[in-house]
Amino acid sequence: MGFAAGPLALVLGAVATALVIFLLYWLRPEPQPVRVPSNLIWSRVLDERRRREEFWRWLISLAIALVVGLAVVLALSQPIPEGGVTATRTVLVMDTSPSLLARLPDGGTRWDRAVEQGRRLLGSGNELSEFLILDTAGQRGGRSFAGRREALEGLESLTPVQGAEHRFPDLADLLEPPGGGAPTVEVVFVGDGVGVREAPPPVRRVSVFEPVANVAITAFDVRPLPTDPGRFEAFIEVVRHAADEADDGVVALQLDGAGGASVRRTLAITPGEPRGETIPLTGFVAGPVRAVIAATGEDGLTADNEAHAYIPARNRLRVLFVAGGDAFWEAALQLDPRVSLMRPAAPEDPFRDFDPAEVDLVVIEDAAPPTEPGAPVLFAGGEGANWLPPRLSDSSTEAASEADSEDDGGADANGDATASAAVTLPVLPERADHPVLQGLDFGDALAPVSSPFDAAALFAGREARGWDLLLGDARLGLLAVRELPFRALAFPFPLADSNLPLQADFPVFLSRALSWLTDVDVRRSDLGLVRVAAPPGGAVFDGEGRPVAARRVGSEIVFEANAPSLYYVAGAGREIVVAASLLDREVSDLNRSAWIGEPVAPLASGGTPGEALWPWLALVALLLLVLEWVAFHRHATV
Amino acid sequence: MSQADTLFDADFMRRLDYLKLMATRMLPSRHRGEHRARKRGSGIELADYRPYVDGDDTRDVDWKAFLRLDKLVLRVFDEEADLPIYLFVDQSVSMSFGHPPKFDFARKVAGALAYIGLMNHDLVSIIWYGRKMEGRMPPKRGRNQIFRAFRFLDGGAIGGPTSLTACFRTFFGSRRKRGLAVVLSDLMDEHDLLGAFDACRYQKHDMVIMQLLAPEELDPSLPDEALLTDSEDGSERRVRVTPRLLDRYQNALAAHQEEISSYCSRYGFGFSVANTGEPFENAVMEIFKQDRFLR
Repeated sequence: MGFAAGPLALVLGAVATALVIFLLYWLRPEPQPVRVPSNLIWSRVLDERRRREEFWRWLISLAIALVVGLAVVLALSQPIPEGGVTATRTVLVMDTSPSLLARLPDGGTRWDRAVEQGRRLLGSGNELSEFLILDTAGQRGGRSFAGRREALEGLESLTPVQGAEHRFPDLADLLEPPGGGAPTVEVVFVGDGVGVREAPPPVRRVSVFEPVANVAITAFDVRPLPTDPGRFEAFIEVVRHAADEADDGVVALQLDGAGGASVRRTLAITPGEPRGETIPLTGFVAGPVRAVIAATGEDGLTADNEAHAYIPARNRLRVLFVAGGDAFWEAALQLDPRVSLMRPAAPEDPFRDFDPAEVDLVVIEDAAPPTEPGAPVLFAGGEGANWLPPRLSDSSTEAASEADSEDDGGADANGDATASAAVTLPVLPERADHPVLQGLDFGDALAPVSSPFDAAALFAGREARGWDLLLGDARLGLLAVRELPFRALAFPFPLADSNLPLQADFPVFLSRALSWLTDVDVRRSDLGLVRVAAPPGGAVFDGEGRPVAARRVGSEIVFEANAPSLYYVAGAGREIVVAASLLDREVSDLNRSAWIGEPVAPLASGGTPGEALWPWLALVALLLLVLEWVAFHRHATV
Repeated sequence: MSQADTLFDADFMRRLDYLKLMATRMLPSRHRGEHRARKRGSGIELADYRPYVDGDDTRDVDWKAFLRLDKLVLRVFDEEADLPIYLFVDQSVSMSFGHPPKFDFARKVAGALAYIGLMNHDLVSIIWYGRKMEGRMPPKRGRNQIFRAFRFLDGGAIGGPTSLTACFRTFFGSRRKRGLAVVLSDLMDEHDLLGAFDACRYQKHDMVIMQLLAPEELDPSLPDEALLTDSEDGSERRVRVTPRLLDRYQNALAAHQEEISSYCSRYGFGFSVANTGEPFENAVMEIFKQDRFLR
């Protein structure tokens, strides 16, 4: 049935008609005065009628009161309509991939739509329905089904998670009951088919996918020039995913560094083709570097428009040189233009007036102090200390030396005493990619084995004190390295007792060692949960210096990097910089949904959680109370 | 008072003649002093015997019967006395309604009854009452008092509300000779009517009650929406007149009359309803038929 009149005319007509009816109902003709001998009989008639009406009114009032009471009781007991109401169990899996953060042309996000779909699903249930809310990042798990209200709270508590592994949760126990037969639950997966592309049948998929353009930084790194470790260049990769072919593809790129250094570029990027740019960071000093891109068209994801890195190198190294008279170290260190050598004020007690804040690196030869200096250390010496790696005993050393000599005839060919007790310096295969040793070869180097580090103890973790081996074998440790609390490199022998300094790669090794030992410790991380090995008592701050909630798990600090930024983990006099960025080609490709073109079952627009009877019953009770008040107390009917 | 100003004109007198004839036919052998009062008392005509109880006058003991029966038996005589007739005429405002007004109708009936009573040598009193006893013609006897009674009735005026109770308490508060009280009223008295009747009954008077109602009271004709104003106290009642309401009115009126009628039946009083739209002779004859006035 249709209406020719417009909605406004319909409403106005209905209101006017209701008004007229109301007025006619309440209008009564003016009574005509009549003088009668006596009202005695009339009063009896009217009183009798009034008594009769009051009796009926009383009955009606009682009935209304009973109905009101019944409605209130029923409302309190939250009844469920008979018929059509069955207990259902539904599993709602929400895709919390970062692609759900894609901003759509209407201003909302895919996640907003997904949550709305979830609400509809919850609203389509009844009072007997039970729901289990899960997500692809594992924010919610378990098998605890709950009512609509709790499920709604669970749904609202979910957010897209970056940096986590997203996968459809394992629901085999629900989809394939142990006794066989059909699943007892319905599983609905709400997502965009980008981050999590598959869902096992018979899962009902509900898509919130809508193509959206996006420009993203998919790679960003700051690295020293191979020819000059003190100079750096940045590598950045930008990708443009266009939803609209009319997009001109022009992207503005800007790099900002410490001290106001800045570089700007304009890039024309072909859709879908990553474009890499290497940009010299001339004029940039040590410190943070931020890359920002801006597109002229739509940009669905903002998190990938910004990336961070850190130039770790120091231009000047204050090196405290504690040596027993060997001039080799001094000459080797002075070859590095960054080094500024300092000697202890009191050579007989070099660490008496030691101030870690004034020193970037401590180089110690031969005589190890009993306590560890509070600064990075480069150590080479035959004497041990409690804070250095454990050493092998003499007998063990001789046995190891003999065995090693049998393996390596070249060592015996030297003929002298030193050579007879020397071994080569093999790089442990699993440590070959260490920044200090990467690409270097010490195959001709020999080292004395008078008191090597106990490799077996280090490998076994016994008394390792945080040390790890870089050079040596399963028995002899010839170069140990440590990260915490300060970086340290330790040789178990004075360099003068070895031909290591004579090797061609030694200057590179020394330069790298100085950089590695003194550079700011920079870690790269994805957005999301970040785990950093940090000294005890460390705290986390963001790039603005605001504290970030973190917790310690074992030797690591765990915190949430919600936005691209630099995060600083500081503690025990040391600072670790975490450059957290969303650098992921797959995540930034917001349109690579596996559900494009596939029929996806939309959710019926269900009712709201307030679909139950009790609100209506409460409303009926309220209306009856108002009716009762108006009709009785205002004497409208009596 | 001219002939035209009086209720008791020639036409009325002709009707009285008719009533007199009818009264004579109904009681052919009636003489002065022959009215038998209901009271058993000190007359000379033996009426009955009853067992003696303490306190009875021993002069009335039938000693011959005592000797025969060895029981004390008391002889009961009918007291022979003049029967005073008290005519109570309602002069409240409500009596002004009707065509002719109920008040005029009542006065004519009272005049007729006074005429018959005086013609029969009865002692006749006429009492106006409204809010209280408003006026009274002292007891009169003899035919020569007829016109005095007519003048008294002609001089009556309407005014005020009705309270038969106040009137009876005043009138019967004084010692009165037992007689016949005739009440001519519409009985639209919100006070305790039956209580008023009790005041009369306790004095052992006989009573005839005639309710005078105008045709519009018996069968009201009202507009659909009416504001009824009580003529006596000014109270107002708004009514939506429907046939159902009129039926209820009839029922309420009948219940009102039934209440009085039941009372009268219980205590041996006479009660009748007169339509003032009809000739007053009918009302008088109705009273005659009750065998109380003419005995």
